[in-house]
Amino acid sequence: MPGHEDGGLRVDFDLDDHQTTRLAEAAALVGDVPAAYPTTAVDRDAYARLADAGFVGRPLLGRGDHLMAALVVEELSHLAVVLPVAAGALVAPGLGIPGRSLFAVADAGALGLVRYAGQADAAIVIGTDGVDVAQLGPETTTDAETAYVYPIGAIEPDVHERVADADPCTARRLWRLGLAAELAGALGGAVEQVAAYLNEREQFGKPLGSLQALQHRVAEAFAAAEAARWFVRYAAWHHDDEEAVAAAALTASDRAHELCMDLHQLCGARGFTLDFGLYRWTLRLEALRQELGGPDAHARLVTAARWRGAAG
Amino acid sequence: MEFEWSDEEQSLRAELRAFLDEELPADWDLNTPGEDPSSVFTREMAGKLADRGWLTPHWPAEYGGRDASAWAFVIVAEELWAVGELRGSQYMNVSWIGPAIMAAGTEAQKQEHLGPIARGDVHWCQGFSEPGAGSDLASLQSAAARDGDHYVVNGEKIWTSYARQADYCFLLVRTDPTSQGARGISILLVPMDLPGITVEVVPTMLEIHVVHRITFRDVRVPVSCRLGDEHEGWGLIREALAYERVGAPRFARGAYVLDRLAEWASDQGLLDDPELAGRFGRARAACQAARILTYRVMDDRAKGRPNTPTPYVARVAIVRGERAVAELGMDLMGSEGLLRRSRADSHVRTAMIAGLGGGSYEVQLNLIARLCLGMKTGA
Repeated sequence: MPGHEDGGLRVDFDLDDHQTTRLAEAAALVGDVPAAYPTTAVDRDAYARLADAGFVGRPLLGRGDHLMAALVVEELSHLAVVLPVAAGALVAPGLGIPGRSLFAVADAGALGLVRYAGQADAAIVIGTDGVDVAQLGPETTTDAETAYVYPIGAIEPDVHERVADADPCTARRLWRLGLAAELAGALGGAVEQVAAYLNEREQFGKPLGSLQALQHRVAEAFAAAEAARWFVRYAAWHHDDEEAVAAAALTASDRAHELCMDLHQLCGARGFTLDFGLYRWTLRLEALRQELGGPDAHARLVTAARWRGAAG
Repeated sequence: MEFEWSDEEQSLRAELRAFLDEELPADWDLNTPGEDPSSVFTREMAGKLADRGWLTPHWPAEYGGRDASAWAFVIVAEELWAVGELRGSQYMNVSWIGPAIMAAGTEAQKQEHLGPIARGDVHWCQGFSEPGAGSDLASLQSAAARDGDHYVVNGEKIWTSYARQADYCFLLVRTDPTSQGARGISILLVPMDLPGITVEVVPTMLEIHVVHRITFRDVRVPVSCRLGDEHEGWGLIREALAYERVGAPRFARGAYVLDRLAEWASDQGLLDDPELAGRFGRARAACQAARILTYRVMDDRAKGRPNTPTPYVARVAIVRGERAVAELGMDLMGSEGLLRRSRADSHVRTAMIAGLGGGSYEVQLNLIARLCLGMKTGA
């Protein structure tokens, strides 16, 4: 996805042919995600297929590689896939960590509940003065029970290997970008499903989607999802820009709880059923919203980056 | 997909900022954009911008532009709107009135109107809303009856910005008296000095933005003033309105005001307060989200795509951004925010307008539901 080199127009919101093709390839590799599925085991075969095709574990070298990676993260979250793609496509490659392992990402100060802890091969542990990679196994992880889509657990790694030249600020920024892309994909998936249901479900002799009181709520949700989607893509292009990445994460997370509640409200009891599958996005939103300090932390980081010249 | 300004576009922004540093009077930026629609100063500034090719950079050279990309216009609009809009009401001319004439006008209309717009020496108003047709604009009743080579216009337009200063009105009228709704509407480009037109100020609490009532009594408008086909004006106006929704880069003003508020808060040591820092971050992100979504509209525009729903989504984000800044400004300034022409005061009132100007927030939601989510007309 090279940029135009002629000094001409460079703002382009359309996916190019390469991006379109790659997203379709990634989607095909993970296959259909059933509406009701176990949340305790990730599909390692699917992850291996993504690695074989260069979607994870591939260095980020070219202009636009971060954007391509973020697009894949967003797309797979949109498809309700539960795989640590953000870590494998963005965080590890962005820090020069090689390999096709399943990575969890954790803050050294908060190892108590880490997403993918019990499923990952290794953890990228971000400290204050550096980044470590810690191998994980049954003896170093403790699974926790959760309904919030992702496997989580505690990690107590005993062997750390320092990643040479890995900057913790960069690590957190890449993590935040990946998180934002996951949120954006989940928002889009949830809104799509709810809109389709409201168009189909008839009450009072007409589709629920024809009621303006409901239209406005789902339209607001759609606008929020669009803001998240495009902000994430913009931030992925400007992945070194602390403010842009934090603002994208904020935009994608700040209304996630409200939308989780509201989108379920719009679907009535049907929305709770496993076969309907809305939970795959809504509960995911709740889980993702908690990561990296949540919206308040993203918001303070925007302010620090914009007006105090601080970095994360 | 990529998001990078070209070298040329970055240079344009830098040149504009240098120009503004030189030309802006002290405290000009306390003006709300559009507050000073056509003073000697804004007329002079519009002329200077035109001389530098910055008024209509994106127009074809044959109509007074310099064939620059649509992005050049975006940059100009952002920089000027942020500091209080040096073009006065002429931002509207170059954003959508000129392009509408370019798209549908006769050669004579193009010759008559585009040159003065590009030179920055003409003012327009838009004759849209009526006492009985606001959000439901297509129900308008102002009538234009054909009488030979003239239309005889009778009706009333209201809430019209810039009417007192306008040389022309971009007027929506019903030319088919048997029609209802969007069908049977035509557009007339009406000189405001025609006999039978009266303009009155409608007093409002806004102060920063004067609105008017325009009354048309047996106003004889030459048929040659009609833009586009008779009875078929709605399609054209829908397209024009889409751009009007994002034509004023309100997010840029919001971001500018927020920067000034942050400077003040920082001087007071308030920006270290975690809660306040969070609110600043949220307001900033809201403005930037609106900016990015507006860029998406402009991308459609640059690629010549008509009738996309992107403006409605952008407008929702714009309103949210304006409101976030306004609320923060008022809370930050406290009672001082209540003082006339404080930063908080003007931004609160402009944020009130944001949810209505160019179509109400709720109309945007209706359009999103229908066009983006496939929902049927609301009940």
